[in-house]
Amino acid sequence: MGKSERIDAGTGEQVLEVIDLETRFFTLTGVINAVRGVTFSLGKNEILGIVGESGSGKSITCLSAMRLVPTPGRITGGKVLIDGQDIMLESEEDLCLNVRGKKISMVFQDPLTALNPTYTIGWQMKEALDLHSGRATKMDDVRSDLIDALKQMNMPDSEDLLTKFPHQLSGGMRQRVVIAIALLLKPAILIADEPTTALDVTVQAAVLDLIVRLRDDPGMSVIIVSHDLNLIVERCDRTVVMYGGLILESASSEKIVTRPRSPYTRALIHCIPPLTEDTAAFNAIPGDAVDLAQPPTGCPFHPRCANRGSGCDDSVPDLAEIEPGHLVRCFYPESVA
Amino acid sequence: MIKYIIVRLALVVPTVFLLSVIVFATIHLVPGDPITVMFGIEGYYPEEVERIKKFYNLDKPIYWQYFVWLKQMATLDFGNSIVRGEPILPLITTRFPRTIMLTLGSMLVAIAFSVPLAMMAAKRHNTVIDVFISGISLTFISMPTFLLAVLMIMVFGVYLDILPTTTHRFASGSTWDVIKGLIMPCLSAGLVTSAGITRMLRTELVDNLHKDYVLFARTKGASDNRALVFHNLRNAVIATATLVGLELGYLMSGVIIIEIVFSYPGMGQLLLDGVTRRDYPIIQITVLIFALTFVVINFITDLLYSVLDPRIRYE
Amino acid sequence: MNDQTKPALARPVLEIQDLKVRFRLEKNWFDRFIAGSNARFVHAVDGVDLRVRRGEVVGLVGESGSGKSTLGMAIIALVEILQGKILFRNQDITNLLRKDRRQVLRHIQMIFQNPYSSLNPAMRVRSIIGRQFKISESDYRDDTASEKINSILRDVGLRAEDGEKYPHEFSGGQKQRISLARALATNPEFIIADEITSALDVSIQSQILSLLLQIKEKTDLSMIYITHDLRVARLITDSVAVMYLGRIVEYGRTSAIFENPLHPYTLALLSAIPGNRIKNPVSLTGNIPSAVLLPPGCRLYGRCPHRMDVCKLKYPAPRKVEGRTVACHLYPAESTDDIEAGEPIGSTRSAGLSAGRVER
Ligand SMILES: Nc1ncnc2c1ncn2[C@@H]1O[C@H](COP(=O)(O)OP(=O)(O)OP(=O)(O)O)[C@@H](O)[C@H]1O
Ligand SMILES: Nc1ncnc2c1ncn2[C@@H]1O[C@H](COP(=O)(O)OP(=O)(O)OP(=O)(O)O)[C@@H](O)[C@H]1O
Ligand code: SF4
Ligand code: SF4
Ligand SMILES: [Mg+2]
Ligand SMILES: [Mg+2]
Repeated sequence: MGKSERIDAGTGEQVLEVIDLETRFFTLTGVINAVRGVTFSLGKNEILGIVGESGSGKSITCLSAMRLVPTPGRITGGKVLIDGQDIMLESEEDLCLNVRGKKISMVFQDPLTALNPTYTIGWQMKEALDLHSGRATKMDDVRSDLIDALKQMNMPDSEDLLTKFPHQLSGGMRQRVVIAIALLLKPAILIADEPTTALDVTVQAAVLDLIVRLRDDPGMSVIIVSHDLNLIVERCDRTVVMYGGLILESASSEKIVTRPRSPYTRALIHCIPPLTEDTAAFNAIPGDAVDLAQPPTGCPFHPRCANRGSGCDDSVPDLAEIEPGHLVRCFYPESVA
Repeated sequence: MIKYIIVRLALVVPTVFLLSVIVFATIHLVPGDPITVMFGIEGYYPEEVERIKKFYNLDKPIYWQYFVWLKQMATLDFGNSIVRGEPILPLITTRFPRTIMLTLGSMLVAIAFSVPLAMMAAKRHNTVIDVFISGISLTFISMPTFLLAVLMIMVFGVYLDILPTTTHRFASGSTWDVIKGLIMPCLSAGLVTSAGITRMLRTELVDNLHKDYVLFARTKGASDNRALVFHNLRNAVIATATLVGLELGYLMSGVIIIEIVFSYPGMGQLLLDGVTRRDYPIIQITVLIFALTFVVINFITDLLYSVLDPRIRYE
Repeated sequence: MNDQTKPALARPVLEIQDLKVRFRLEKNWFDRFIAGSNARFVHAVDGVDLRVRRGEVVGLVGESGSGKSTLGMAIIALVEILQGKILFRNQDITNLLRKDRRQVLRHIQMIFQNPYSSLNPAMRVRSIIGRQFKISESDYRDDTASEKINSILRDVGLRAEDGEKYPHEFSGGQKQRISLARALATNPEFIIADEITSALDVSIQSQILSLLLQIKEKTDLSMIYITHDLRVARLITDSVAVMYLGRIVEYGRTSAIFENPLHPYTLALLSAIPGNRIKNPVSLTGNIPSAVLLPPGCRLYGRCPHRMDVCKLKYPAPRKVEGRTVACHLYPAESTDDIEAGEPIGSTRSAGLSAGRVER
């Protein structure tokens, strides 16, 4: 639907480059290697999808890209370039004033907790404006702008919403408020961490349509994180598959579904419930998720992998380009057939 | 909101009623002759007893006595102190404000220390600073108020000799004297309280630190200090407000001790006087006033709570 | 899963009749007093009929904010019911006394979406489950309970040792298993599952769902399964009720609804499934009407591509079409409900809206 024919996407100007990013959590019980050397880039007006199972480091990668890793986490290596500028080198004030919210903004996974329960929706929307104009605006001056932003989200009763508190809205409504706030300043980059998990499919479609539209109209680059592979593939130009803090595969969305080369990607696709068959066939990947405190040696997927061969438990394979634009981290990739 | 205030006020009425009954009962329903209880002297002549009984309405039915007493209390007709023989009202009106001053001063100290310390500890949680602050607060929590007071007197009053050790010259002193006199009492009562608040506030702040809404505010471009103050502190304060209300109650009891240690001419002294000299009307009134103050403080805390937390406001 | 229902088990366990739940907008009496007769309500559930037979899984899908969670909560008396009846095993449980209701409700368990906030972080898993026994069994004994807790833990695919751990030591999927174990501890006949897998990734979701199905097969459990994920609904439910703004717009066997959706909203819903290609997809335009000022006619009117004049004026009473219930004027009304008022019914069609084959 929203995906346009842009083969060149991702090859043009890069607005965000993440290079060898490493993020660790130094907890009392040990070090958790949440992100273990992630490299990817986001082209101007590109929509990039990140999929992967729970705990694979998707959210932490996104937060790292804004340099907002929660303690006890720390970025322990790598670079994040926004418009060519390494934000690891910039001062905290600069980031607050010129980067976060303005160049790059983020939508959080859990709509029930992303809004502060003690302030009205209006206050929280206005805060985003005030932070960047650097002065306190009057509610009356911005009211119509805020209502417009909510209307864009297809919200019923937008006019009444500004004076409401988060607990008075349904989960889906809260999530749309969060998205409205993130889009308020028309950022160049939007990171949407599972933006539609709480929404029903029609609203989900509407919200994603809007994001895709914004990509084209004022021009915006988007990262969508999700564990719904179908959604990612349908809306994103390119897809990155993460597992155990590493990227296992990266290619155009088309290729990811039609010709997955990583055994993990294939297993993931296999888990999607089919819509046609009438059997209760639930496929799960056997085995347990990676324990990031003690990641397996070698390929992180090897304890669960069907293609496992000699060497898989020895060293981590490189993320290699096996076709133009198709990167895979695997010793024994799937055949193309 | 208005409903909330009204309902809450409506709840104050039975509380106050109950309180007054209890205070009244302690004197009038304890076993034994009220005259003996009140005057502590046996062996009056029967006529004398009758006269006193009549004078204090003790010959009337008990509920009648209660209502008369209630009316007297409500109209601030507190009668005379038995021991001093002087009217009680002026005693109260000069001393009550002093105790309030001491209590509020201590609370101010408590908040002035605890909020910045808790924020500092939370911002640097699990670092040396945090551990240091936790350690200090633990020390102060486990220290009895009077011990701190005595230590302070020894250091600042005796050894350094920069602050007055007693405040009995209160009535005659200049404003500066009054303030100087208040410093040590307020510090000793306030520091102990602040330790408790610091610990609770710090825990709340740290818990909130990773809430998505704090992080979301950061992605909007809020600096970490702004996020801490606007998004974290407010929610942490909600959780702590109840504690502060309770602490204020404890503070009042601590204040009695402080008043005694520093010979501070407030309500606590008055109460102590009353108890040691078995001056029942004084005891009755001071206890009643302490209890009422406690009720009012609770009421205000509750209101504050509902102003801060919209989820409560709309219930 | 199977189209044929075992006849012996076909009597309804739970029957909901004309249920209405509304929330006041004016939450305090002062505002209510000012509003007077203009008081405004959110009509969260607005006249719902639903039947769940023994051993049946009924899916509840639809718009967010359409009242799915509210409906579930109304069954277990978490929200106040304005009107209507809920019959559980032929007993009216709407107006029970608190004590009796407790007795009945221990046969019905609701599992909520968020496994993180619904488990007490300060209790060991063993005690979380054990508490349920204590609540539900009068002859509770510690020694026998321990064995039962172990067997329930095994039922949901955890180990007995896991009982000694605290919730935060588990992953999201495992936490959801604990919620499930807690719900099963009372040996319920009926489970209301509110989006229990939407926060989990596909692999873990598969584990939970196959577990749920196994338990269902073993114990003849009935279920209302609330979800946004139509793929899941397709696989685990026997029938589906599609909700829109407080009402059920289509209700029938899962296979029939997915293969040949009749109501325009159902069609729109199916068209919006990511990765699903439908021959005549419908995408809804326009704004969702407010649940406060409900339109008098069909609630989809402003957004429906097939709307007719009657739709604006008359609410389409639910009618039986091709073995299911549909609330839409496109299909002939069986009763004279609509016609009484003298409104002519627009063009009526009995064929589906040609949803076409649905493919992966
Ligand atoms: N505050 C924290 N302290 C310790 N470990 C953490 C913290 N936050 C995240 N982690 C760890 O980092 C890893 C990556 O987490 P992340 O939230 O990025 O996963 P995710 O891919 O977004 O998963 P999901 O799909 O469940 O959101 C996890 O294993 C998690 O345990
Ligand atoms: N406590 C409440 N006070 C006021 N309105 C409420 C309350 N709870 C729910 N509502 C309203 O009732 C309607 C139905 O809410 P409900 O949570 O049942 O929706 P839902 O179908 O479960 O939606 P979702 O799919 O987003 O979870 C919504 O409009 C919501 O705003
Ligand atoms: S490297 Fe080996 S274990 Fe890893 S995905 Fe490839 S085949 Fe499987
Ligand atoms: S009744 Fe009319 S408006 Fe409503 S769904 Fe049917 S055709 Fe559309
Ligand atoms: Mg995440
Ligand atoms: Mg819900």
